[in-house]
Amino acid sequence: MPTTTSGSLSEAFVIAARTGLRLTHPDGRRDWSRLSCPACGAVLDLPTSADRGDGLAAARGVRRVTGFVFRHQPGQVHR
Amino acid sequence: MMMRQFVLRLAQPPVDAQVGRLFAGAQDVCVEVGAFRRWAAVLTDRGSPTLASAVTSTVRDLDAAGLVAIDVGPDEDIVPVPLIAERLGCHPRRVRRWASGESGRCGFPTPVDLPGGMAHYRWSEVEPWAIARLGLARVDLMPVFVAVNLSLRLRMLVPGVDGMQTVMSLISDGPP
Repeated sequence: MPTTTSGSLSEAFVIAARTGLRLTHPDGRRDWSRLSCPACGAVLDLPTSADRGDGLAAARGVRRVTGFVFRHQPGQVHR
Repeated sequence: MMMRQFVLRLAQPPVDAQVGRLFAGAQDVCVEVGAFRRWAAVLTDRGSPTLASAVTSTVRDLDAAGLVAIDVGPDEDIVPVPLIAERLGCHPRRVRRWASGESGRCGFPTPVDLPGGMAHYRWSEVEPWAIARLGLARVDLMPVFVAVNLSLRLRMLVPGVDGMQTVMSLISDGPP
């Protein structure tokens, strides 16, 4: 199961992508990231300007990404 | 100022324009749409003096984005060590010592299955341990959630209730 070693939001996105989740930026906006699960269509949208600013905000973002990845692991049954 | 974390469920999954408006006004929220778009929620991490003020201000942010909140509840259960430390009022190093058994606080919950890297736990397991082992004060947030949920339902009923102000006086005036 994926996690982050340094706790950075960018690293969390890289790990999420490696699990098969799709990472996009709606409307080409780099301050908005979207993780989506191709198996069930679930989506996590989060503002990612925090990754370049407040460390605490980035840490919160990492937790959200990790929680989403935890719920959408490859091979997991999606309800 | 404490970090208040909670989940507001939405009446329906948002469209991109609504999410964009939400992020324009609030950087401390995330939007999650569940499997097969069966549910949608806004997950919030907001610094605020009280939980009630944090929830209320987030509902206002949703209003501004054209999103309808139908209820609010506790935050998701998966928590990393730094957040556990923040909630217990200690350094993350101490949490890691408890988890490893170094400092003798045995019985710390086992981590969620995450090999290597940043360990994650279930708050629903950590909190009872902290209450029993550390004397952490038991804080009951449910009355706040119940009150907000009743208010959210009341908001949806208002347009169809004749004499709503009279009904609201039961709250503003209180019992005799």
